[in-house]
Amino acid sequence: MIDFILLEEERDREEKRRFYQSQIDGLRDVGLTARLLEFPEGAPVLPEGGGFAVFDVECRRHLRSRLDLMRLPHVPVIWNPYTFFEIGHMWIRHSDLVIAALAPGPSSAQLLRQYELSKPIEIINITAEYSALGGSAGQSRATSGIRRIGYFSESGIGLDFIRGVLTRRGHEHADLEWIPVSFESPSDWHRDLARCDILLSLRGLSGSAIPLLEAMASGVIVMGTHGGGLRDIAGPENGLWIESGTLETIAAEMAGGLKRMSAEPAWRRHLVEGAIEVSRQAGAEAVAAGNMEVWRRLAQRASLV
Amino acid sequence: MVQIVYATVSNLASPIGGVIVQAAHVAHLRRAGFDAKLASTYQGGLPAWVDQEAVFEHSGRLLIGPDDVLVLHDSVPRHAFNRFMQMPVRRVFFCQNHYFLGGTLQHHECLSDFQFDAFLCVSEPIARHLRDVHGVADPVIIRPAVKPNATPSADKELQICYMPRKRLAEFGSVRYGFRYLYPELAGTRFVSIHDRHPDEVAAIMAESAVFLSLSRHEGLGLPPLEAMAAGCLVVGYHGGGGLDYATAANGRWFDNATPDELVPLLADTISTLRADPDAFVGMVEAGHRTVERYTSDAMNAALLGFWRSFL
Repeated sequence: MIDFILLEEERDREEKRRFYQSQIDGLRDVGLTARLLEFPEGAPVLPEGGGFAVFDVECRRHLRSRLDLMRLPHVPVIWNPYTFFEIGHMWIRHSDLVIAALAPGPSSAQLLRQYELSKPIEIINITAEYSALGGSAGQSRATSGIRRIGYFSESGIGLDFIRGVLTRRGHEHADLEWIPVSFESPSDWHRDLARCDILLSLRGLSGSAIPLLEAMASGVIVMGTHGGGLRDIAGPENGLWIESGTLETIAAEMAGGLKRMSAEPAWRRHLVEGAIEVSRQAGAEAVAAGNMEVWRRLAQRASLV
Repeated sequence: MVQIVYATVSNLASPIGGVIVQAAHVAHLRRAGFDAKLASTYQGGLPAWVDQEAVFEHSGRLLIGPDDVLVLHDSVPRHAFNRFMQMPVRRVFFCQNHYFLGGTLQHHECLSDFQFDAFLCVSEPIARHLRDVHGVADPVIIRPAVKPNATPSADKELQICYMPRKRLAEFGSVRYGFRYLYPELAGTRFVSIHDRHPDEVAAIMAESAVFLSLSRHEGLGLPPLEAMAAGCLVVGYHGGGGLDYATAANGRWFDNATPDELVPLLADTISTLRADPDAFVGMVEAGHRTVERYTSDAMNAALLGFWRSFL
């Protein structure tokens, strides 16, 4: 039994919940058992029967005493390699209950393996079953005009600046409708994403990108930065990815992209097709075999503790 | 005499770069005989961390008439902005950070839609933004002065000074990267200038060979300039407004959204300096020449030139 643990105070809870649920479903399909345990703030009380626990490495302090008391083997997921330095991690090196750490993708694994954590670093694909609007919806988007741009509601001054530049300059994009979206509210997310032609991403540094992949699966072209979450798969054929961290550059490249999409429907179709294809390749079904192999190895290792 | 009133923020308890620049304007103008002052609802009077030749007045006690000039800043809350715009005075807009304008203006509003008599700013990137996006015809650039109190040490330490506040995750990537990806550089000393007294900052910069710039969404960004004045090689982000001075000749600038490539850039810089301490002499000298545009004399000339012409 694999226990996936989610605490109330965690960041990006919905993203994690979707990932854990997709893994539980996949594990069930191959005859392994797993469960999602969600706890409010404070020390969680884990039920008996777990084989090993999986949780975001940043939650360790809340779980430490409980997992140690239960002598439950555990596997931290390093969800965000960019903020990994902020937490103490000597316990990964020293605890005999830590049987491995999970890195979100090959590049992160390559980096984390050099951090001398003294434990195996397994590569896990952070993904989900995407509730895509489907390829046909994506195709129809690719032929209609660009009218609506979605943006993550927590985007802050970056969004204000870029939106201001696009809206004011030349009035070319003044009539665009800007739609705030939030992945943390699934029903709102699906409703709002379905209305978007473009998703502006100003994501902060992150190891995962399930919301972006879901947008791509839905044929919504992502413009902006992926924050490292798609460093292994983002390319010019599947989105308008902007390398610069300077807001003027992001705004200018976005304006150029919008102009080109209007002038070259074929390019826009190409991006939509690329986005759908890459989201399929990174989707839960496509990576299931690799992820299930990791869980099997971990289960075997946990049984030896 | 005409009053020139620089409206400033209401909380002056801690040092704020933009307020230091406003106070420098006020102090310079007063030395030149103008009746300039800072004003806000702050109860504590003139803060100790600004030029003490500036004058502060509580806005509740300020009498301001139609001939006086109100200088608005870029972080005015909308309700205050509306109130200022209704006052029967002359108005100048002084923008020190164009990234903050979205906090005051609606997305469709341009500064040129409002009744301002002139526009001031501190850098060419801001001036470009005001011209191209807000339709401001002729913004005047008054670059702030970099204090010349950081004499480079003759014998620089191969250490990295930095200001981490705006890019903690990026800085963490660099520290971890140095420790684990470049074990031969693990002993490199990092010295923070965060929350240090200006004299201490100057001393740290003077003895450091490298300044790691972690600028983000800046209207100008003074720390990299101060580091150049102190003879540091600058490596890192220009923060947007830093494009007023950042060139390939005067620093190893970096602009990626993720810090993955910053670690090797800084590591290469340190390795190169270890092998040859003079490897970047030309770049440091270019930095010195860059800072020459940000002197007190230059600021004074631009400031007085504007106000004499405006009034």
